[in-house]
Amino acid sequence: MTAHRFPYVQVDPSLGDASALPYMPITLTNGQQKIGASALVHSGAALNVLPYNLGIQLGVVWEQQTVPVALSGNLAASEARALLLTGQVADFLPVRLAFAWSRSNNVPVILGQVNFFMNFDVCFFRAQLLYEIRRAGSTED
Amino acid sequence: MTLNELLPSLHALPRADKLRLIQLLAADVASEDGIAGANGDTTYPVWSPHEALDGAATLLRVLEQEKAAS
Repeated sequence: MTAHRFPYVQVDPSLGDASALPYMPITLTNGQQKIGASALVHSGAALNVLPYNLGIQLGVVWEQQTVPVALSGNLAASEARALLLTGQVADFLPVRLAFAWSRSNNVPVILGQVNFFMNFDVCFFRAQLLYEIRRAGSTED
Repeated sequence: MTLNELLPSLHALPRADKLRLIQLLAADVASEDGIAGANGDTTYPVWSPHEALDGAATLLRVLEQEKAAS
């Protein structure tokens, strides 16, 4: 697969397209543990973020993650630690993704510049409520 | 008190208070109409690590360390 298009998702149907955001299905794997998640593709985010409960569901032990990650904004109120997972989007080959694993559950899965956007080229077509993803460097249609 | 009686006082308000009044009235009308929406008493968090550049550098370093170890 060279490119895949995803629809925007209305997170609040009562607000219609005003609440449409690029949430994307992704499968995250840690060893033998695997879960499906809906992740916000966020070009303005400096890094990937994982909420606490998803890390727990993946069998990750907080105390065993020893590298602190400094976050910003509202996220700065919660401690975060570096966590490496494998992520698979659509039929693309799995990639290694580094997350700031937050101690908070009050945050979505965020796919940001480091390192989701380093692995995938993303083009947003907001007017059409679509966005397109392809592996970085791929020039095929 | 009627609107006509209030108007001189409203016009005399500072700019910030006028904006605050607009927000309060809009929230009142929305509330009366049963419309859920933004109002001046609610905080809407923005979960965006847009300036977490140090954290991003940390993640890159962890990725490189894993790659070097494999």
